[in-house]
Amino acid sequence: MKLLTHNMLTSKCLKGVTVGYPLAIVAKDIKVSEVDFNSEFIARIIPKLDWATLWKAAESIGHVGELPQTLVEDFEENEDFLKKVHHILLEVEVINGDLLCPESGRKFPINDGIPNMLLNEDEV
Amino acid sequence: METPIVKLDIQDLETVYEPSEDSFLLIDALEADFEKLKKAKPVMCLEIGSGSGVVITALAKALNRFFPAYFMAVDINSNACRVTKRVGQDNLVDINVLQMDLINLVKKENTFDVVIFNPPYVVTESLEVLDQRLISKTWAGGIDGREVMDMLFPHIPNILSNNGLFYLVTIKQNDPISIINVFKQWKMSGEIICDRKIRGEHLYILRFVKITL
Ligand SMILES: C[S@@+](CC[C@H](N)C(=O)[O-])C[C@H]1O[C@@H](n2cnc3c(N)ncnc32)[C@H](O)[C@@H]1O
Repeated sequence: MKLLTHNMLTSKCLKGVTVGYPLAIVAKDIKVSEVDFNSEFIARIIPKLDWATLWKAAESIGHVGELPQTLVEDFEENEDFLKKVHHILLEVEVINGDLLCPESGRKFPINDGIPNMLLNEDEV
Repeated sequence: METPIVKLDIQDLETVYEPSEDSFLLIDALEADFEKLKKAKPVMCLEIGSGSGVVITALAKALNRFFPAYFMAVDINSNACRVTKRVGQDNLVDINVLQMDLINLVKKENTFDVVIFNPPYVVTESLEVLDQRLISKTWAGGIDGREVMDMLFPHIPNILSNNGLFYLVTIKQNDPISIINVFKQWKMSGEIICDRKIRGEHLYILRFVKITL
């Protein structure tokens, strides 16, 4: 599971949970690989992101590096910054671990990079 | 569009939907719509119920020849999730897979530029939709074959970006025209972009977009 996927997930649908965002990450295995960089693509993803969530997630798995805590202005032109975002979004992947609902603590296991987010009937 | 290499062993086939006429019609429809897709320059693409992953992989391969995009897939079946990821890898594309019931835990913030769904559309009794056997999840659609897809529809306007495209596989018994009418209440317009008669089934591919004023 990449942090771009994580940015899109919420446990709001759980019974009794009001926000459910962002999910906490407990990473057991992390894989870092190389992916081709395309600045326009990254610049177009950024507006779809919750920046604070990305930063916190990166920090919590020990890969925040020099990623700034607040989104820089005029990022479209800032190749250096876009490369950092590229790395954290697309090159870092949680292979095994858990996602946790921030309110209920419900665990969603990640195995072989695939989070299991199936719920029991009585949870929704 | 190139047809991806899909290798399923006997064990996979016990629970994972083998690429069939409906899968291939959907791929053909995406191919016929490719100029539109290219122009939209999607950043985030999502397939719901990816099964073998044949459709999202075909789309990823085709789009990646022009630009990168992020591909996500969900399926309720863990075997389908595994196979989708593997089929992506076998075809040199990266599919980000989640095991989930529809899009229950995906945040609804108009993020996705392309959404695809080839749902379980076969008319069955309601009870069959609840059948825990994974292979029946690939086809059992309940009353009018609409029970699973109808649960997804209200979320589509909320996950789709403003110029997003939603592609849906249906059969005649699902009453595609009434589905198009359902979407009107959410200011979305739909049309039949492809249809094909195969033994015992008349398949229709629908495409929905948001009505912009
Ligand atoms: C007709 S098959 C399509 C498979 C593949 N997309 C294709 O076109 O070959 C329907 C798929 O939806 C999945 N599915 C059924 N109900 C689902 C649900 N509630 N949430 C997620 N996936 C579901 C099934 O496991 C199956 O893989």
